[in-house]
Amino acid sequence: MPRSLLGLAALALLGLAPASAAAQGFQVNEHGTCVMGRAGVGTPKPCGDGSAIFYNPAGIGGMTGGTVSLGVTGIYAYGGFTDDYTGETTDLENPLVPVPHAYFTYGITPKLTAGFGFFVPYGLGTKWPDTFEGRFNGYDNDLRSMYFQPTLAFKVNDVISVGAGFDFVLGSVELNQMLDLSEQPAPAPAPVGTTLGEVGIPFHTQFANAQIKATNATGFGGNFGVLVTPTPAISIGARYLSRVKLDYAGNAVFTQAPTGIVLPPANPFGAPGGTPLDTVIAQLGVFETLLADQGGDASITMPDQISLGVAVSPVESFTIMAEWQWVHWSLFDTLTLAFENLGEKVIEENYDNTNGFRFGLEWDAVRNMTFRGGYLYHQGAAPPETVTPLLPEGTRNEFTGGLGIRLTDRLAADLAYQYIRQNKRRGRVREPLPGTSPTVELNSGLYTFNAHLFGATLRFDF
Amino acid sequence: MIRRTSPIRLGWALVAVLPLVFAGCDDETVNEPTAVDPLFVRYASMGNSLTAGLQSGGLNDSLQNQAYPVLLAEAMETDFTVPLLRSPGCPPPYVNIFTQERLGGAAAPPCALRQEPVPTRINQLAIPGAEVLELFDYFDTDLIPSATDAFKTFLLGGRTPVQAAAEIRPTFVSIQVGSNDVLAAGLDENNAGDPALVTPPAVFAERFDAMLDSLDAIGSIDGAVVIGVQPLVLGTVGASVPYFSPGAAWLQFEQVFDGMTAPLNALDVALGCATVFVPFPVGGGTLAAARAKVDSVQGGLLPPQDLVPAVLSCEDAQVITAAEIQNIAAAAAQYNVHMQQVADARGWAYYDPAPVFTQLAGTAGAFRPFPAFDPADPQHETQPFGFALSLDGIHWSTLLHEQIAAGIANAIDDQYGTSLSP
Repeated sequence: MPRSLLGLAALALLGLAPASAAAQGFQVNEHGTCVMGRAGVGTPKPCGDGSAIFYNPAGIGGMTGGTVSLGVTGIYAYGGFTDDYTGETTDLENPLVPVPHAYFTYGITPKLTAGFGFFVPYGLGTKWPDTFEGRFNGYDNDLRSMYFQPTLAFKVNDVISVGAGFDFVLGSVELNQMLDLSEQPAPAPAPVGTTLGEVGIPFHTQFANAQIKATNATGFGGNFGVLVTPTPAISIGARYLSRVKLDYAGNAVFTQAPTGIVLPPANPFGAPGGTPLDTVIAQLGVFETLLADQGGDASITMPDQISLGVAVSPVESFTIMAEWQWVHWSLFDTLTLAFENLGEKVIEENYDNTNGFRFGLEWDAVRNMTFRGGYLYHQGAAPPETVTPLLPEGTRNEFTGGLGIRLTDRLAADLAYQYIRQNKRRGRVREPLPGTSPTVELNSGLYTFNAHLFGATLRFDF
Repeated sequence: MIRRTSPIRLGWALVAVLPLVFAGCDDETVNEPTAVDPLFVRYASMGNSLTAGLQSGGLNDSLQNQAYPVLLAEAMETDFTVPLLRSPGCPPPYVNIFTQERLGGAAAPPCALRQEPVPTRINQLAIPGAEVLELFDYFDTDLIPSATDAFKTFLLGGRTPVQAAAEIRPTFVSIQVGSNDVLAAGLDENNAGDPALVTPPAVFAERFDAMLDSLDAIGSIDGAVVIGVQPLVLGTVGASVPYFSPGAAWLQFEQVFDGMTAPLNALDVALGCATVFVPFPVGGGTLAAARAKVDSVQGGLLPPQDLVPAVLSCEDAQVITAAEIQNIAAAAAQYNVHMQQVADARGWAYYDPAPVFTQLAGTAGAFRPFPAFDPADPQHETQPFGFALSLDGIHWSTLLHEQIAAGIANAIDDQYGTSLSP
């Protein structure tokens, strides 16, 4: 079994498991198809597939025997940005993103259970065309935080179980963005401090692609849960996932990008009319000096999560569940990128803490088949002034449905579908001027974002 | 059995109702641009120095904001972004054409830079010096290098007006071209009025049509107004561009000058000047030389008998001959015929500025047939070419911009049934 987990983790590391925001901020909450089918309600009544390692570690307490489950959630996000002024819409080009999960549990004693989980609770993937007007904020971005969590749970008695997991987190990030020539200093004889915008270079004239890439950032955290079952028909759960700070050290690679401008005569660069601006830029030598390949670092804190939930079974075959989730997104207030040559760049994010409300149903309708459904509502983490191409998120309504099938005594499968409808949200496609903070006045269009999610998990009991 | 299924039905119903309880579908919306009429929600202005608002040989933010496209945009109640220049300008405008003093004095840089922050879009796409070809092509071999070429990068970042228009996807455009296709000849210092520098009307028509083809390719334009070239000869008054003074006026001035400086004869205007137009630098230079001679005599530096008059010879290379002015006027008229035909065929508005100029020609002080060279003249510094023109004798004054804007608004209203006119 460990070999399978390692193999899956290796696949993830090889790039088959980029995550995409499917909850709030760059949070992903779909780490078990059973729970996904009931709108992510997993804290008060975890599923038996081991996904409790993520949703509520106490949930594996008292499990007998062993369980291995492997699954994947395919996230197909789509949307776009409609410019206020021109009315033109640019569509997202996000591919179908597979987000894997894997769990292993084993009952050491009737009360003590050990487990190991792999999941990706934070990640984002946004891909825009490289002609998108927001490409100066970022057009191809990928952030992943893969959690490897050994877990122990103890069933104190028939009423209370507790559990805790230690999270080893492996993170990577890749940001691609174009650099704006109009913001760059004009060469002599222009006075010192003059920008190229002041000599006529238009706003958002690309001249370089910046790729910032960092892998193997590591961090540590914990996941703690408690499950209370006062009666067989009622269960209450609580869970806390700690924050994890990831320090990324990577490289920034700058490559020249075509400006598309051919200089007319009498230009401020002194170049003959008909000279491509790209030629002039190349001769300035910036790609050998200021924009030479260089090291860079950044820190991002994956925020804390608190979940509280209750599940009630008015009849044995039917359970109604509700859960509240709070995510400490205000930790994501700034993103500081530090480069060897370029110095420090601070991006204000100013995220707000979010509340999510999940409601799920589970119905053992016929023998060996379970139907699930749910609805969830999530607040947006990004304030109105930081809705950007990097992550154009907002308030969401999500609808889920699922099916669990017991294939054999040892083998079960879960399938689920989830539709995410994010409220259309105004946002910006530019950074604020240097030294200023973002404001809603910079918002110049409307972001749309919706997603279809497909989950499948195979579970093997032994 | 009924009792067992009721909670289940209730549960599913609850989940179905919850979205209504949370009702999170409060979508925000696109803030579409607004205007007094949907036709004008995205307005682009294309043209030359007149369109850009250049006055008194200079351009700055104040003058840019007095240009007729800005006034039109205000009437349209549409957003209109101008690539504003810092004060005192690039170059700063003259404050005295005779002393060549410019705004900001000698300490001012020859070109103050563009204002920051750089606008995210530009609606004022006019390029001083632009001929029709330069609205869509900067590199044709027929183009003659000019100092105004610097504006192509400085205002539009090296993009042609058509390329820049494509970025804002205009619903409405105004197009003013033709003046530089004829005036380049008039301003040529080697052979003023050189017919070879006048864009032949057939070539103009071909280039104008090609420019419109490029505009059509943008695919967003619902309407336009084409502005004709102003009439250059205004009856007996002279030129609508007083930079070119009628030679006959110089002949009259010779007598006045000689009378003022009698018994000296420091200025000699050739009789051949009677039928030509004299560019300001040529006539002004001759007059300055004559004054210097008078000063020398009066200062005792030059014996009166040694005074040799400064001569305005009106040689062909110096002045615009009658034939040349006719050639220029005829070309401009043919440009206008073609532009009007095209505008009519497309259902666009066409504005002929001739009535405004004719009306002003009949208004005292609008266009001076002869510059106010005399420092004692009350208009010497402020309106040396008349109140309709700025201090360079070529470009429109703010008042004329206002009248042109009103005329264009009328033409648009007539064509599109809008109500831009007050």
